[in-house]
Amino acid sequence: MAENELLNLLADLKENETLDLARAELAAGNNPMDILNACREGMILVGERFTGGEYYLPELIMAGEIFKEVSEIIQPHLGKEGAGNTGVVVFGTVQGDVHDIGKDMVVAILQGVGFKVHDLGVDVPPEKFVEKIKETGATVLGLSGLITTAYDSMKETVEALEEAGLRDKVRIMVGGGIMDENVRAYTGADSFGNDPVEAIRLCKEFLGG
Amino acid sequence: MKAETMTPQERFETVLKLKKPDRVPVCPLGMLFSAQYAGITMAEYYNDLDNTLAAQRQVFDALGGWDIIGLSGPVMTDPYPLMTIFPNRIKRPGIDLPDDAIMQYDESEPVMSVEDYDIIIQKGWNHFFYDQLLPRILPGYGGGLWGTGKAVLRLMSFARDFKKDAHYWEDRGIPVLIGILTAIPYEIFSTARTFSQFTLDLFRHPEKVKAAMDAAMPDVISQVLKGAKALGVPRVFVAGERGAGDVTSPKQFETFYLPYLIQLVDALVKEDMVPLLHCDSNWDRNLPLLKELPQGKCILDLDSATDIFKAKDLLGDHMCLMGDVPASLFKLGTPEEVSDYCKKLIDEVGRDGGYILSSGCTVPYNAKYENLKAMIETGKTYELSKG
Repeated sequence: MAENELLNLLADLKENETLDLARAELAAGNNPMDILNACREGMILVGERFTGGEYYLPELIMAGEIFKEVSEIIQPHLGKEGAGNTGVVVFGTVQGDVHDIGKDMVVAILQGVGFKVHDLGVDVPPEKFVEKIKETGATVLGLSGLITTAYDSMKETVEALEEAGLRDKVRIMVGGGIMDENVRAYTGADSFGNDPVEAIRLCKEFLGG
Repeated sequence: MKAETMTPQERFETVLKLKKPDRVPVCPLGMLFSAQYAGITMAEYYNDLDNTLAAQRQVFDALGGWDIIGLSGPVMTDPYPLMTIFPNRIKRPGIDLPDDAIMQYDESEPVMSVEDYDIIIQKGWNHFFYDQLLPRILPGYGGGLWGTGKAVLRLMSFARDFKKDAHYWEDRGIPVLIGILTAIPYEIFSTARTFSQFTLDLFRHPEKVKAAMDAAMPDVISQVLKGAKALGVPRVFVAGERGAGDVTSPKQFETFYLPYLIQLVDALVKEDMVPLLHCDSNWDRNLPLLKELPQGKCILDLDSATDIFKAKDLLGDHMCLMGDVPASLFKLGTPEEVSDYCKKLIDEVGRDGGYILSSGCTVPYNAKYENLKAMIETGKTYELSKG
């Protein structure tokens, strides 16, 4: 199988060529998991190019889109083992805030590098986050927000996790256009970030990877 | 303490010329915070213009006034002018959101397709906006002659409301920061397509998007010039939400953003208007490129994500700077922290003039009143009380 070719096509953001090759590899009887893993390697290379200053946010979004399209082709052919996720994350924009751009970008990119992400959408009340964490056993929670309403909602969400006895089991990151250390301290979250690659880094750190 | 020697209008004109006034002019941006002072809900504030204006005037007087009224009257509460620059679904307090929420954009779904770029290329922006786009956002408005007429009448009613309020302030000797709002096609298309889809469009259909931008520009420019004249304020709000260095790539910015920003700014400057470049998010990387805009003609309004001190070094002799007391400081900080930060801004960014002390983007609706008071008082007294 042409792992390197596939990895590089994705990393070079050649959308049609990546999808064509993924389909061809599948048709040739190659292991679907190997195809997906090659694309994950491609996403890691994209992340490195971002960190190295060669790529910017638009390239991350494009790469996330290509990865999503490859996943859609591959998923039906995966056996019981599923996509072999590297960790489970619950994500959402907090109560009172309906902005989704930042959240969607981070979710797409986290999925791209192999995290299983449960996206609860926007305007999510604290109890919904608690419920989902109980249900999925996720150990990372991402809270997004753009307006200052979000500060209080993030704080309330962290408090709701404490009340539910889950705070010790979950690492919490807050992000969005208005985040800084003051906000992190106010909300009681573990970390804050201002770009998707920071979210990847935090997830990996939280999950010990 | 030394006495003031300039009127608010003189102070404003002085900084626009990049010179140093008697003291820094103060302009808290947006007036949403006035609702909490007036004791009304956001729904009451947004949905009844009498409430909006009463609250704004009440808080202005309670705080002893300031120099420039920023985004006043119905500018931030009337969704119609906003929709011309950010065309997507707007959620309003008391209508689509709880009474105590602020107006927000629901950009979860595109209201414009890839094929719509072709319509813009063939028929221009105004046709597409009024005939096709507006009805998708606001059923009952736009589409055909009747709908278009209705939308235009609605914008005219906004203009009447705005002018009445602007005259109120001008009669009191307080200049109004801006009148009409505008944005280059990059901003408008990105809102209508949604940020993610538009970003993908730039990879998948770059030539089509560029052709649509070229086709839209003449309408964008003629609309803003007409609007500015109708509103009677020779300063224009140029929205810069999506051109920040942390959400664009240098190639995209230089291909799809900067040439159009230059074109728009040049058209405004040619008509003796001052563009207020309202730049949200982190513009650090793109700051040097703003030197391509004409010298001494623009205001660069930063929201605290961009390094305003770096902007001073790079652009201090090129444009008037404005900003950037952070939203988080208004909501979570203490009056001392706000005051200290304002002093730093005045000393460093305002050291040789060309600076307006303001909030980073708008003052949050839930800002602590004493923090807002600290910003205004520091701005009005700090330099005059120095030896």
